Amino acid sequence: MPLHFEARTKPSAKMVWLAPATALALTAAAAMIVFASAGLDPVQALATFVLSPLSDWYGVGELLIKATPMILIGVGLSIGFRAGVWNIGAEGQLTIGAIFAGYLALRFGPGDGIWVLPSMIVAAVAGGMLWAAIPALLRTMFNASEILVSLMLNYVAQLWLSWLVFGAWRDPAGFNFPQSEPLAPAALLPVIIEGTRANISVVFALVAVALGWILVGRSFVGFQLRVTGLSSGVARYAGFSPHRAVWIGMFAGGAAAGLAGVGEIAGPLGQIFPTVSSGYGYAAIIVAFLGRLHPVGVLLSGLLMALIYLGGDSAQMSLGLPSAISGLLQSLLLFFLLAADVLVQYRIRYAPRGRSALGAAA
Amino acid sequence: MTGSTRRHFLKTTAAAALATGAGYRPAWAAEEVLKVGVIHMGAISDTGWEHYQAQAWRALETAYPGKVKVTVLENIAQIQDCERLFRQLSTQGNKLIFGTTFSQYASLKKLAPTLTGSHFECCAGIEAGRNLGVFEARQYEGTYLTGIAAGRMTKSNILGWVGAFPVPQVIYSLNAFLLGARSVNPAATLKVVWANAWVDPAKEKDAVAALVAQGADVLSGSPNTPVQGLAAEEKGVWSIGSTGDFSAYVRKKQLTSFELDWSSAHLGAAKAVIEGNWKPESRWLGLGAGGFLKMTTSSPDLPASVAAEMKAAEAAIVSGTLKPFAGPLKDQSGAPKVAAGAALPDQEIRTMTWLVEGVQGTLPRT
Repeated sequence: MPLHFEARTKPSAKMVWLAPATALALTAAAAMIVFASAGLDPVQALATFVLSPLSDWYGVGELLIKATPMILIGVGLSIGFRAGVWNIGAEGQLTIGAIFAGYLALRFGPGDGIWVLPSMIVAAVAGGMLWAAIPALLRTMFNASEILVSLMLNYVAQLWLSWLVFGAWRDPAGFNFPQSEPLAPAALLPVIIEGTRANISVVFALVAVALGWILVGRSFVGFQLRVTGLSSGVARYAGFSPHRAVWIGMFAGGAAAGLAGVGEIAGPLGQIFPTVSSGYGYAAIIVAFLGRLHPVGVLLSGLLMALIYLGGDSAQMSLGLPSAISGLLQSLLLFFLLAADVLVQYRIRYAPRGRSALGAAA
Repeated sequence: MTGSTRRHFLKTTAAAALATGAGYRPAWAAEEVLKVGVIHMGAISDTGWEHYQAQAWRALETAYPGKVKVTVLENIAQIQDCERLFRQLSTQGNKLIFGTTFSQYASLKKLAPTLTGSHFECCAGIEAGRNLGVFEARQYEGTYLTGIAAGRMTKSNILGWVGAFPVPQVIYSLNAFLLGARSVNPAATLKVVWANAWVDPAKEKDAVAALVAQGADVLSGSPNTPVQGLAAEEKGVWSIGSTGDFSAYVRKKQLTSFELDWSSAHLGAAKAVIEGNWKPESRWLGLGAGGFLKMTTSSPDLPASVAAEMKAAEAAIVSGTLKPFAGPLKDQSGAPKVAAGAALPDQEIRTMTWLVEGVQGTLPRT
């Protein structure tokens, strides 16, 4: 092979942003091949996939409401990820947020107080942080892997929610079906675009992006986190506490996930079911990396992931493609991104046979 | 805002049409293709709940070749997504839209009155509403008949039931299963284990093992997979397919079964939409022609006398002379629930949350 990878002396700043664009282009190309092999006009099919979900305001609202939890959690997680704090427990933190907020909604929602909704939001954030504090505590005290602890706590949270919805929270008028009674109007988030389901949690996501941007790009804490992520030895030498990074990272992810949890039950669900998320906490990990762990990048990648979800449903509806199409395109996107990421650290060099050693040495 | 202007537009155009003497044109003209939308919560597989749902719209395609176009969405597991997709199906011109599970009922109840361009039907919904019809099967008629087979074939006089969720649909099914068994074998009792899932192979297998360990030798249940039958076959006991025939998988030890058949609901609704006389209705049908239940072939090991007994009971149920929940009936604690000569009214069957005398096990409650 005359083509070789050559290590760059420093990561290419251009490639950091070009890599996702390349991945996106390759995904679109691969999608068109898939469409063509299914006997469809590839260009038209791609247009249907990405445009038809957004053909009216309702569709735009749906995109926003689908992207919101992934953006929220993605921003929260990326703060920790930058510092090498691997919170894989956003799914559980979201669930606890829904449980804490759900308790207030069911207990006080019918009373119609205007304080119900704000206290639900505070409780959800606190719940998510509390759940994230467990792996943080175990990591800082006993050096337990936060990856495993946070991941396993997802199952604990899920079982706790099931226990509640199958038991104490089951709607007495719901024929024993495992679901709570519908949340009272006082416990529902207000809709911000009339005629859609887009509610105020969209604004929360945008605020989270702004706050994340200030923290990551403009604050000393953000700098400390990044140094910690690059080299914990250097961070310690500079006097930055690695424990502090763990706490900040876990709390940021937990708070964001908890907020996403209340957004689901007080938003599109309007009721509490045994599962409130089915995977936003995990999808947000992809969103965070796709967005280069940068809040603005996360905003864009969250919208993109949501569009692929919506497009997949449209493809089923209008093109007769199987439901696996969403998952297929999402994994292709991640696959191409990982491949394209090589170009951040390496450049491709044309070197005919025999000169490769020289090229590598230079 | 947009709604009111659209209504205003419709009103004015309708007035204009009347003024110009244009003839009445129904919303759906006979020469058009009827577009039908269906949303499945799970994946359509070769057996089980989604399979029987799919059989219904397939029957529609067969009955109206070229005249009906069915758009099917499967694997729509998130309830958050239903509202968007039902709305999208409606705006894309599907005149008849089917929900396939109770989980979609809440979304449909909210949406159907607002999306007047389409008519909606929800399988397993509770009650018909504005622009929303519901249909559900009298599964207890099937379980009463399979109960007769179980009552005759048990040696231990202990039957087993793997319950999905303690919802009325499951409760009346298992109650009737025991009542059917007791109609031929008064010594029969029924042990119940709850899986708390519609589909969960691991839990279903555990539940079967637990029932067999407690002496049950004929098993049935509510989850919709062959798992229970296979687990029972492994243990060497009989199983009965409830809402599905699993004899293709459970080759030796499936005693008998009944399956769901929703095709008459789909065909009836489509016909009504085509003829322009669709109305939201609540249908609750069991055995018999045009019903939602069908008995299937039984194992060759089922004695002919028992098969004949089941046939006779089936005919009696269809003709209305045999009511599975006829008195005298007592609940688990022995308290009388239905007096001799009376029968439980439909409304009370549909909302049943008590177990009949002889059922061993409790409803999971708090």
